[in-house]
Amino acid sequence: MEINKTVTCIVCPKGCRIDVKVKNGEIVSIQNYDCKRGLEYAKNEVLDPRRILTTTLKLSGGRVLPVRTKDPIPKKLLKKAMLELKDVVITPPVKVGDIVAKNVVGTGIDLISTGNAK
Amino acid sequence: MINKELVVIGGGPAGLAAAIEAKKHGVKDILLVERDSGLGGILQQCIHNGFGLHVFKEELTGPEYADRFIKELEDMGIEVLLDTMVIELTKDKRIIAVSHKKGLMQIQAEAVILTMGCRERTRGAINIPGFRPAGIFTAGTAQRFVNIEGYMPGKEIVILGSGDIGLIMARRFTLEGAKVKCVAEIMPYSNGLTRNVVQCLEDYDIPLLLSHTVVNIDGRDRVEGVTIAQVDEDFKPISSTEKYVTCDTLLLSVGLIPENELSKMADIKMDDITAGPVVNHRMETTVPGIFACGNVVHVHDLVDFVTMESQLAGRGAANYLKNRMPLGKHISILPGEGIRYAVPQLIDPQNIINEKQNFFMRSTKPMEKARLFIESDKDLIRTKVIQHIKPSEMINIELKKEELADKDINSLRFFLQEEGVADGNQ
Amino acid sequence: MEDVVIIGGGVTGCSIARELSRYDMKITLVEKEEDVACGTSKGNSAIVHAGFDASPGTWKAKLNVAGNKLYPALCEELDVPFKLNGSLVVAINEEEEMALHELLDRGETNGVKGLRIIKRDELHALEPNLSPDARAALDAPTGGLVCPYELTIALAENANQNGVKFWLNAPVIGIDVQEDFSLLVKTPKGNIKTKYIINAAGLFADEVSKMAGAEEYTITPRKGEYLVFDKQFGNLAKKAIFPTPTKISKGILVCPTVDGNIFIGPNSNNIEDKNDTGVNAPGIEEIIKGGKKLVPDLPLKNVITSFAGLRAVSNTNDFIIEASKLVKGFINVGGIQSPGLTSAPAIALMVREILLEEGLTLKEKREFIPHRPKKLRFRELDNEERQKLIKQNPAYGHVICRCETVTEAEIIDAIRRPVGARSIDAVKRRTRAGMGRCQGGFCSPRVLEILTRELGVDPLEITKKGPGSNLLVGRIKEFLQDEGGDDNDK
Repeated sequence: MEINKTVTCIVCPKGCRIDVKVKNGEIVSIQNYDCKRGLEYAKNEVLDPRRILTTTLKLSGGRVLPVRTKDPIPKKLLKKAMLELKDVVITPPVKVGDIVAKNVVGTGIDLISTGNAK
Repeated sequence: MINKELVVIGGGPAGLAAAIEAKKHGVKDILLVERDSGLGGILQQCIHNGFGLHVFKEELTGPEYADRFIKELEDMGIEVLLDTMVIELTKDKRIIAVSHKKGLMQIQAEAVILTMGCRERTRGAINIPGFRPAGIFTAGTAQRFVNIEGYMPGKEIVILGSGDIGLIMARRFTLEGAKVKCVAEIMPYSNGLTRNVVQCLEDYDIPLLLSHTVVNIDGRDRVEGVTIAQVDEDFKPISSTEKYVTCDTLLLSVGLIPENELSKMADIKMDDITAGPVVNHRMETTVPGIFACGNVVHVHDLVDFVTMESQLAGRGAANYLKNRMPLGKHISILPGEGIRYAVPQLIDPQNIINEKQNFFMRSTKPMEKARLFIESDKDLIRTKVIQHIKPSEMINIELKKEELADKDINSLRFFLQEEGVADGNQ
Repeated sequence: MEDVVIIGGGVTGCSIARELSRYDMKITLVEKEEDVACGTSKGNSAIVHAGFDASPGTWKAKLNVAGNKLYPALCEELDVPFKLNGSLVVAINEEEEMALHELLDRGETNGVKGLRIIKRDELHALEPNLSPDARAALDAPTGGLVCPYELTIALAENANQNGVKFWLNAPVIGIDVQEDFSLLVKTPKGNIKTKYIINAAGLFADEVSKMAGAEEYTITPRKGEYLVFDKQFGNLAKKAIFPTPTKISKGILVCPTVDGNIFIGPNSNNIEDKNDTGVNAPGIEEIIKGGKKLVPDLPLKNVITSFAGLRAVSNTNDFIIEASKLVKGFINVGGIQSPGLTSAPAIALMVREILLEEGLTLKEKREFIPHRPKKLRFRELDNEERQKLIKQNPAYGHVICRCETVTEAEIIDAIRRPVGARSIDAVKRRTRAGMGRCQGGFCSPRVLEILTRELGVDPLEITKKGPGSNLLVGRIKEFLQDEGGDDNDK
């Protein structure tokens, strides 16, 4: 089965709409890109789109702690990751860069603190 | 009366970078005054990534970006007053500040750097009709509730305006399990960065309705819905296109306004277009010894540029304090056709810092391809072809000192001329 | 049993409450909203009218002039800002200039002092931003400015100090005449037995009168819309600038507020829904057009807010202030439209006379407190006073609203005062926090936090303006649901 996908490129402000044809999980053609970086971007966006998840976790006895995944995780796992983190409560002290949760939704990628709490 | 060599008003990204840079260039006695209970300013609530690509060559979140500067500032031993609000500033650089710990302070500074940032435009500023229920928030206020306080200000949301904070909040709300119904933008193009349109809206199938606006707000106690309509070329709503959308929250992301109440008190000359102070090549305002940088001067889209501009201001203040010699002749920077504004508005070509001068400007409209002309009142200095110009993405041009100095010029003008779109490779 | 129940916590009801609180008796004021000054008293032109406008012989005319005279002393006593800045009625053509003379005559008949007609040169010297078409004006030096909700709140606070009980969130749902001829006022919060009822229910006075079986009349809501400009344009007009009036309305004016803003408005449209305080696009256009006739250069880019208010217009087109002939002890104070704010202090005195006539004996209290608790406004103090104040109470050093320079101490005070604030808007009306150019963008999360702390409730319970207007809807992650599958890709 052949699927057509359109990717809006974010490499530069131009925002090319790049058309990608995928057959059996493999790219068969890429059209309407303007540069090499755009080509790479479109490939990744189709085969393995990833995002850094940024969110907050509850802090015991107070407000919230900003956190992010150390590296991008598959885009389709973002909501699942949010569910997994739903009831996590962090106890201070914690500082920028500390790992606050390991192996988010089985990706092997850790969640790190982006804030400080005493 | 407290005496200080340099007082920096504001502890956001601009204030932090300016204070650090001034210290690096030999200013010893610096005081940074911040009205909030911590440093970092609005970065602390910008928990998303995308900061630092220019300055650190890596992708950080707002709090991480702030943390690097806060650590450096602390390591340098720069004095900071938190929870302290400056309520008066005179052109003689006398400052009155209040805090609950220290009471009312009078500070005499030799130099001042203004970094108060900006505030959000409100419903009043854009005159949306309807009731005045709970559930109407500016995007930044909602961001604070969610990211700092840990509370959700709404569950079913319509966003008016495609400014970056609104787009970021669309994703944030969606990931928190709320439903963002649409983003309505009155202009025929988005006002946010492309990256945000893709990663915050398209990723989650949130419709971006261009040339649309909110024409009415329904609900007496809490927002119950809004009426959205398409607008014509004069931005007047077309009544036949009206559509009612139920929601409990209307988020406004309709622009930012530099916060210059203190600048006005000090009789600093303002630029009507940027709504910030007129500044020169070293970010000095029209009041000698008072500098300004960051969003208080003009609204930036990237914090990295705020940092660069603020480093210039910090260095400028250090120069001023070291050598009180009056500057040479200033020339005016004039925005021409296609350019809404250019910063700085004045430069002294002989005294440019670091042998080069950056100019930040915004276009009046999106252009596929245009040639930027840089000309003095004497001759053409240079042209440059720029692709994919958007008003929401700042143009940054660097001119070398030799391009400007040694010529008896009185003014410098930037203008854009659209060019035919080149054939693509398709 | 109460001696008097006052229905309605607007400027009329609160003026009456405060006046009657001088006497030894039991009084309760019931109000359907969560605060006083939530209806017509909050959305009007905030002008203490000189009194040249109303037809001679009407209650409006008599009580306006009488009320105007009472204002300076009342505001002094209650520490409410009042500014005697004067009013101008501007003529832009010959016909209108003729009409000014009629107004002058009418005003003099009504007993207004100091009226005179001024000519072009003097007029433009006084108000340099006026349209060049302005050729003459009626100058009324006794016109003034007051903040109507600040006054209403001050009256309520002082009445409460002197023993008047306030039932808020208590709409009247029925009024019964008891066997002993006492009256029973029913609310969802409970019933109150009383000898006298004063119906000061504003837009709803007709319904309350009907509920009691008293005289029937109708109140029609007449909407007026307004735009408010940033304080930096506070010099646009020094006096309240009116156009030459028409039969139904004083017209769209350009006017300063006692707090230093400028507003334009109101228009005047009869509507059906007594709760419809929405602002409409055509209305905004109408007032801009009207305002530009007087001051062509309006700073339309610097509008900070718009609002609408409803005038309570009776079918007699005059105030209805009288004891019911049908229900003993029931006194109507209805149809209090403009100049109701100006008239309120005089209406209170008139109601006292009616109560005497109706057989209530009034014994002055020895312990009557004429002043409300001292209210400190940080932004108005000089630096020495500020310094001293922060030393006494460090919360005065914590600025919460930066646009209007309102400190934490003032917000705490607003919550702890008699008839204290319970919502974000109630804090705003008492302190001006959130009333500036950023319209609460910066301070509302902080005000919410202070309310939460002071009232000892969860942040989710804090409202903008009473039940149903909660600001927050949940904690983060509360709405996350497992939607099945692991795919949020399209």
